[in-house]
Amino acid sequence: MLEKGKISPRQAGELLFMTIFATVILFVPSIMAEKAGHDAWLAAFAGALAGLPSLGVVVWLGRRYPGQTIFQYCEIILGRLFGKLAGLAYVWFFLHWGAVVVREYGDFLSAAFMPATPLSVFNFSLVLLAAWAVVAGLEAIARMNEFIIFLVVTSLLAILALSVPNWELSFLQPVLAEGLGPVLRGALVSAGWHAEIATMAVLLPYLTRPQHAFTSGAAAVLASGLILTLGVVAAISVFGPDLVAVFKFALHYFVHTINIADFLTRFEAVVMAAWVAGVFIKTAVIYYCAALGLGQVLGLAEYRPVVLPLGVIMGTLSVTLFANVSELASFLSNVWPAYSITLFTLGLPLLLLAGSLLRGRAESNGQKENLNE
Amino acid sequence: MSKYLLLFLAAVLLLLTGCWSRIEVDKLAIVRCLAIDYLPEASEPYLVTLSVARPAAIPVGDGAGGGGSTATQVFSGTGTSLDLALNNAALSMPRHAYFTHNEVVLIGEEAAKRGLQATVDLVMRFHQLRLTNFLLLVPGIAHDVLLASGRLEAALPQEILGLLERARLSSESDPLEIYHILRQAVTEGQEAHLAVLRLAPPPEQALPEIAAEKQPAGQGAQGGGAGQGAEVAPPPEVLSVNGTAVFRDEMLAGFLAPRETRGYLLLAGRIRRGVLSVPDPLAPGKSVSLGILRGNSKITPRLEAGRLSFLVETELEGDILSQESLENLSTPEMLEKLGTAKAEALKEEMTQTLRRLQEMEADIVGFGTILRRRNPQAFQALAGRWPQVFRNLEVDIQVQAHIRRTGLLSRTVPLQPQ
Amino acid sequence: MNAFSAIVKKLIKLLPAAGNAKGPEKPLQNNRNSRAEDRRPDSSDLDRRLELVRERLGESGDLVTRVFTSGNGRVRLALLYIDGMVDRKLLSDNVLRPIQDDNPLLRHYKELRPNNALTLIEALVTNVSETATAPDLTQALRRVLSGDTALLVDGEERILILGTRFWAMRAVTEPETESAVRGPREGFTETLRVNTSLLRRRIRHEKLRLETMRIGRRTGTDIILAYIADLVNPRVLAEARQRIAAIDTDAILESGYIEEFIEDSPWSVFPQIEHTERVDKAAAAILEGRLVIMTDNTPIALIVPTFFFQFLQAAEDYYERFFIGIALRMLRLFVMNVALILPAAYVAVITFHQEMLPTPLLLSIAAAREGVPVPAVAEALLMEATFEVLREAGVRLPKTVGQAVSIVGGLVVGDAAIRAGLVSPSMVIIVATTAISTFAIPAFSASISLRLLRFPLIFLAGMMGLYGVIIGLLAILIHLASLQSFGVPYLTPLAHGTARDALKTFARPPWSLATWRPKVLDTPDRRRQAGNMRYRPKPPEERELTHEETGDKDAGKR
Repeated sequence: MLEKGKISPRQAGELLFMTIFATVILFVPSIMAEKAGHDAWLAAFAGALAGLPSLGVVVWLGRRYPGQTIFQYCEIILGRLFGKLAGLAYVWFFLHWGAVVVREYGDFLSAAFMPATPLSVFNFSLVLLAAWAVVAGLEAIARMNEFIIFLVVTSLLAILALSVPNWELSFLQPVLAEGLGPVLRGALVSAGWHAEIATMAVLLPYLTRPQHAFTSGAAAVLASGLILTLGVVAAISVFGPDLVAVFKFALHYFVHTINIADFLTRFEAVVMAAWVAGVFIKTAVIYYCAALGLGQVLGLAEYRPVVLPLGVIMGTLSVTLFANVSELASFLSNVWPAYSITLFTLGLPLLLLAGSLLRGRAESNGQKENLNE
Repeated sequence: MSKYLLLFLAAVLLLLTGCWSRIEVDKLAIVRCLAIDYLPEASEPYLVTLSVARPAAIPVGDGAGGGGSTATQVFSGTGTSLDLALNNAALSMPRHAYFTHNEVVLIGEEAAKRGLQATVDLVMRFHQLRLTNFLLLVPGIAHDVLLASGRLEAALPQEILGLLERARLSSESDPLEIYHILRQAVTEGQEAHLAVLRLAPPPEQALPEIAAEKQPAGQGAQGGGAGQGAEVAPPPEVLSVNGTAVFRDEMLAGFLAPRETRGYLLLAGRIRRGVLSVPDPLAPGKSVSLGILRGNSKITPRLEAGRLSFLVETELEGDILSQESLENLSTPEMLEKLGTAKAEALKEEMTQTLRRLQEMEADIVGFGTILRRRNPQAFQALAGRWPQVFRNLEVDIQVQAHIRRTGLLSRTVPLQPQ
Repeated sequence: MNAFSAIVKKLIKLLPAAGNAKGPEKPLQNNRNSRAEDRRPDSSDLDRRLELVRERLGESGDLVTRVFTSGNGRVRLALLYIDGMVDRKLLSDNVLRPIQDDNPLLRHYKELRPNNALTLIEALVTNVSETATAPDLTQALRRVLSGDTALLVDGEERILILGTRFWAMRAVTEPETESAVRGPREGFTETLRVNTSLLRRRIRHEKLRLETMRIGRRTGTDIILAYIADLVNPRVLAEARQRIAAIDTDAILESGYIEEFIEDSPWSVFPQIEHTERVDKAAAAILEGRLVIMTDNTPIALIVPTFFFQFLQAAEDYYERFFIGIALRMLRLFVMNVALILPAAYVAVITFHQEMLPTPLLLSIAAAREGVPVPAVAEALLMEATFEVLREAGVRLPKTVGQAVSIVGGLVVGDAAIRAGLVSPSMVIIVATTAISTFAIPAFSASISLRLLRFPLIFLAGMMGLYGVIIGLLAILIHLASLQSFGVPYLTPLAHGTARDALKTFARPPWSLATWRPKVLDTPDRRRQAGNMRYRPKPPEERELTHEETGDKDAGKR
């Protein structure tokens, strides 16, 4: 076992919540407002529900191969060669995903807070910090997250509550005026993010009670979907859908507008702090999955030696992957959902599921034949 | 082992990290007010003026500080584009221009005529400017406003903010934060409007009779203070926030007077405090002052046989502020009568405003938006020519005003025993 | 293990006497095996043994050997003790007198001989409440060095040990480092026996165990593991025993030595073991299912396992009304954050994120900083360092001089620095607030760690603003999350354990609701008390009516 620690299903749920939520709240409202207009909030929730099938598939697989991560059982299902290849593909996915997250992080910080500071400073400091957390192990990350999740969720809910005086709910009307089309387009974006719940495929064997994996994962998806919906409702009712669609970081501007008695105001930096902590957890989880996966695919006794090399790759990728902000934005809204869903968060798990079923039938047939003999 | 390597890397990264975004607070020029003008004749037509706080003028501790005269200082720059002008203005300062504490953006009349697009883009793109800035229109040159001095507040921006705060309660002006204006402007079927900040002679000197009467006496009084008095100084102009600038397709289309602004607020259902006077129903020739406390409007689109019309139902609450006659106005019947009179008067204001807006083809109330929300198909059919539709829109205004209170008197105090 | 010690014994026997000096290979604190010369044929010879004693202890002025005879000169005896550590009166009245020849009782048993002397004398000295027999000289000497008296009988190998310990000790006084307005005034003292008695007095339960160990090769310090047998988590107990037993060092002069030897991560700035001087606090910890480690010669006892947030709790929280307890804990939580973050956040805000300040505040800070020659980071580091110097100077100096330091340092230098424009008044406010905040944390060991971490945070703030502060805080969090104290995560209950535990940590519950012991401690017996014991007034019909209610006017006269 590369990981000796165990986390409780609640901790796993919280980790996954953060893994989904940290970037969702910053980037997704704008993208969805762009695609679904004033119905973006419907799209947000519908998309979150779309995370459930993805979760179902990986939990089913995890139950079928107890104590094994997706990197391990895909070798059983697909055979040694293809299994290793699929495992490596997953490692790449986590690496790529991590790099994208780190890039989003750096872009936001340098655009909104410290324009004079180079992107790579933000990116590499985050990767380094995450590397330390990954070395500290899954248990430590889970523990940190219990603290950070409290910070992130309470600060977010507080912001939403404080913004209520600025709300203009009529911006949400008319509901479904343009039909279901835009809503579905928006939902795909939300779904692309919420399908990231498939990360459960890596964490599941380390749960103290793996039978609760689905419940905790579903709770994470629904909580994220719910808060996102609330966030989208708030953003649209403060700015109107047309304005939200042009914002790069709706949350940032959203915080700008809060002013309670000239006293509770100007706390973007506090929100930034909570958000940095959230993205740190997200990066740490993804990074951890990549490192653990590589360790398992390569059959190492310890995943810690691969942490730093992976970090260097992730950090470098995060800087070089996109030439500018617009590339990142178009990647996030057009490529990412389809790419992650069809290939990794739903596609490959479904393939594994099918393979496992076929193999299972073959094996049970084989057993029957054995009996017959 | 990797732990130490990590620590080492972290240390190296830290040392490599410069202090890119670091600016000491005493190296900042804290911009509090920003004015944008367009001078059509100039070679560099854009003029940006910044009103910057002077911390040195603020006394610290035992009053050892305060070694300056003015709390703000004005810097300006010109350029062929807005950003160039802003840049030039910033370059003329000995410190880093810092805009996060900017609270008011003024836009001159000429610049507004050329459209809000450039201003809005600048404000939104620039991370230091906040969306909670007030955007105000200045008739004439905005730069001149920043040269005025505060009457109660030491710093001019503070004075402007105070005026805005008051204006919010007066119903004669509708100062809005940039994001409010933006969300109104980008919404389909609605136009933007800005509050107007003007520099004008004080009301007592605006009246020609008073000015004429005061001039010689004032000269005599000034003789000691202002020296020779050979040249008569023009009366100091004062700032006031009232009236509304109406935009159509981001261009300045016209102005609403203070009273018309109240009509707009009534139509939009955002009326705040206000005062109006109606004729006394019992004593002809005398008037009663009524206050508006709060109000609400409901706008409903009606589509009957392909004819679009709107129904505006306004409900108001208020009280009696004063009366000139000796009659007892505090009976339920009289209150109802007064309410009707008030409703009539305000309906007139609203109709007047609507007529002005229709002339300008600027739907700042958002009838189009309301139609779009209630009946998307109907709006879609009209969307392309909404301004024209709005111009000829039939709007039925129904006002209901309730007089709830009569102040601390049950009826007036008769100074002549009857 | 037994086989191993047997081999060691054999090896030792083979070695010449000089070999005994080569101690380091064998753990001394467990040294139940005896020295080679003890086993020699003449090991019952009195003179030979006294010579040995002199050889081993040297010419120490406080070593007293009193040789005398008894039983009509048939038996030669020697008393061996350290002067100053024994009760001399007890010795002369109750030991020497009974064995004197003219003692009628002794004369009654005329047959006092070398072979029965030991048992006979042990029976005679009934006034000495504690006696024992040591099989050989080494063990006897160990008891002698602890203050007991050894009685050697010529021709008898075993040695009688008389419990005569008595020395000057500090009285039980109020704990100085942890004072409380309400609560017991007794603190631990330097004498282990007194401390155990203080503990016993509070927990009169048969399951209270005071397990004694002796560590320190040269100091031979007594360590007591105090716990309640059916409350403590056996895993933690075994772990503690094993860690303490593994200590192999010359000296244990203070419990701090032990703390560092047994804590999980010695390379952490955070204290992972709580210590206390308060008897009630130690007793409470034991009753919660924790383990208290008491060390001889120090009033400071250790409590394991420890969670970080324990450092924010004071014993008094549980004695005052619970609302006050809750408020105080919230306050301390806040204050802890202030002590850690405030100066760094201030530096970050005024050099990077001026947008966070309300405009009037920014303007007055800007006005205050006009003309200050150093950047804000340097100003903060300088001021914080100055404060640390002042504090340190105040702590080490006699109290009377300490006041002068604070006057000169705080008032004169501070005021002059502001007037001269070297530092800004706002920075002085920040540093002073931080300083006061650090003092409001009940545990000195925790507050000093936070104080230390403040400096790198200020540095980070100066480099990268709030972002740097957050990075620093996250790094601290990673560290905290990876720490454990005896197998329990250090951040418990915040990052581990139940919501109920978390609530109890941050808001002390009213006693009537404190039914359960903390779950994370995993005690065999979780229940602390009967559930829901709150007093409820009886319904009126059950209640005895008062005089007013019955209208019995004569009631008072009767």
